[in-house]
Amino acid sequence: MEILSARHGKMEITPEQILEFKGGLIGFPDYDRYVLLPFMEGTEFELLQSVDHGNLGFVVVDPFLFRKDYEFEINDSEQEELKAESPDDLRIRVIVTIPEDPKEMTANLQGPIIVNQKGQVGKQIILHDSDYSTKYRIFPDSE
Amino acid sequence: MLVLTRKIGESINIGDDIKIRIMEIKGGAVRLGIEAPKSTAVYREEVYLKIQEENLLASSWQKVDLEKIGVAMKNVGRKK
Repeated sequence: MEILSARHGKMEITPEQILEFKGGLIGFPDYDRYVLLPFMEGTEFELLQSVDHGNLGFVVVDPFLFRKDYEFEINDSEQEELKAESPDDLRIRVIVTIPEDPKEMTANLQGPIIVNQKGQVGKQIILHDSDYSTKYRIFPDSE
Repeated sequence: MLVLTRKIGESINIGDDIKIRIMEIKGGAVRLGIEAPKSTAVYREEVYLKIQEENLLASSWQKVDLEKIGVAMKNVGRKK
């Protein structure tokens, strides 16, 4: 099937690529189907694109690329919802916020996205008791 | 808004399957015990609002940013 992304143009996707985010992302309860796609060649960034709303898409990235010590626990109900049989089933991504000057881009480490491509589910979880910021600078040393 | 008075150890029930118990009151803080079905998400409001706000900000990036972003992203790749 084809989806039309405002930022990415036409994209061909297969039904197997679709991830169900039960209840949507926080603040976007009406959209619960997304695909995780490569974003720009030669970069590590990906696009979490709504299947049903072309204008809704999030730039995401693997947090371990810039925070090797990033860690959190997911509870039993989250694990169940994600149909995770082993941690290997899951991929962790964080949403990137891009201000006018992209060097100041930040990642939301307190609300990570977890994806189980095999189970075709995804979820944004909130880390309540962590010190991780919603605005973690990806390029801390740039002026 | 419904306002109720409760003592330590007392609870309120919301619907059939959500129960909130007053565990402890100390200083200006109240410790609550919450029993809810697994499918009901329970969030501290300020944390929830912070995540919501950040999601909204993150969703509003523009197409014109694409080129700039490409440059910055390649820098991340190099940092590995």
